[in-house]
Amino acid sequence: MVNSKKVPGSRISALVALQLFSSSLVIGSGSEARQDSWLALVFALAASLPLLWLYAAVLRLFPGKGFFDIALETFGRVGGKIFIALYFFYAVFMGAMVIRIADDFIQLVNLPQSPEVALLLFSAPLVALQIRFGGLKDLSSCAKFLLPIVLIFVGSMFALGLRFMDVGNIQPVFGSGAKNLSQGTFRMMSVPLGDAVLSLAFFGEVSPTEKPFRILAGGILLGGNMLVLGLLRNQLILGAPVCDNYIYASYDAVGVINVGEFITRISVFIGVNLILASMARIGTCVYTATLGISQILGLKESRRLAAPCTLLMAAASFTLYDNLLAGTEAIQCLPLFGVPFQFLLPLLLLVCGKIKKSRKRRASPAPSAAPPSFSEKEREGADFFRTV
Amino acid sequence: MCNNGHFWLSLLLIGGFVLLDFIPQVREQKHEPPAVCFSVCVYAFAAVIAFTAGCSIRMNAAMAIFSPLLSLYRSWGGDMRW
Repeated sequence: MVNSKKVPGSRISALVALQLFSSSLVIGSGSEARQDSWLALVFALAASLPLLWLYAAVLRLFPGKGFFDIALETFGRVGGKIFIALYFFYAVFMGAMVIRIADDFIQLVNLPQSPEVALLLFSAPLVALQIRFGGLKDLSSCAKFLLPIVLIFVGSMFALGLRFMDVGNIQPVFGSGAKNLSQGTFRMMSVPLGDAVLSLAFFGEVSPTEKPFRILAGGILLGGNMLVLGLLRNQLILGAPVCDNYIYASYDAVGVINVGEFITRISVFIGVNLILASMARIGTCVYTATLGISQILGLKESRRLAAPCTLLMAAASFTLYDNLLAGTEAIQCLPLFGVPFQFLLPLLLLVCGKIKKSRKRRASPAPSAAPPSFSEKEREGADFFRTV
Repeated sequence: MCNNGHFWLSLLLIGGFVLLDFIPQVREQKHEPPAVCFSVCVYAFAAVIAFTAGCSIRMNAAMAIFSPLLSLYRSWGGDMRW
């Protein structure tokens, strides 16, 4: 039975799945793989399983502890804090990026005259309040409630778009070449899927009896399959060359769909999806950053700094790039930037943690060893019973 | 100031956070000094960004972070086409 103070693993899975949608749905990703982008995403999903195994192995080092606690335990006070500071920076950067992408999308599509910060006036206090007073429990409950809504939107848009799809748009299959396909796979593995690393800090609040791999894989596979559906819809409706030309391929692909005279302009649902998923993603980044900074500063109350962390991300989002074109260029570089945080640092933590654990085990006396006061005869008897 | 709307709305956002989060935090008898210091730094940073954005001074921090990575990747023979 799950402890009532702990967050159920299914909710973390929902949170991981929901945050995959945040920026990937509006940005037609995987352009280097062209018509095979959906295949690149399928391969990326398969390739992300070993990555998730790595994360789960890190969390299994010290069951019941979060990612940052494990870092402190493994690297010591100073090394651990440096490690956490790197992830704090990563969480703030990714949170700022998501805020900026959502801001740009809404401003460009719906509110061109409003200042960018106007949207943050409503969303930033909401996220800060949710993290400060509700914590992970509220964040994950919200995700579990919102995920089916997003899934219904994605599923229904795919179904409504069937009439406008052309299978020729994704042919020839594997026509993009091995190099392009592998680049696309790497990119997709890093940008939407590898960001699950930001959720690892939550596992201190998940029951130690629940399996981290199952939780992470459940979220990634559910969200990833929905992303495949979204990407396939874009490719089948618009075709790869047109998708490459649009910044918001999903928005334009869904904009084509109209059923008779009464279901038109349903592309607004893409905006709804983006807002719901972005709130989950920003919440994840804020929560991770809050946990990180509270560990660095050694605070007793871990959620105390939720509001400053939210404001830090909001302010940082205005410094990232000066226009949308520079932004698209910056977004293209994200996979390269993510590699140390998603793969190298967790691997380093795993290796060092294993070494530290085995040293500890060697240093402490083995519990099964017979006490020295035993006589030779008694020891033989004990050995006999052990073998029986 | 070129971008008045942005500046005043940013100040409103920062003011709201200060009023609802920072002042109650400082007033607490058992407040933690490192948390207060961090908050002061963040609010100051946000105010500076609000001012620079209000003056239409735009920054390109993402590419400043990415460009050393990109040049390193290219020096290894990497092909950054995506």
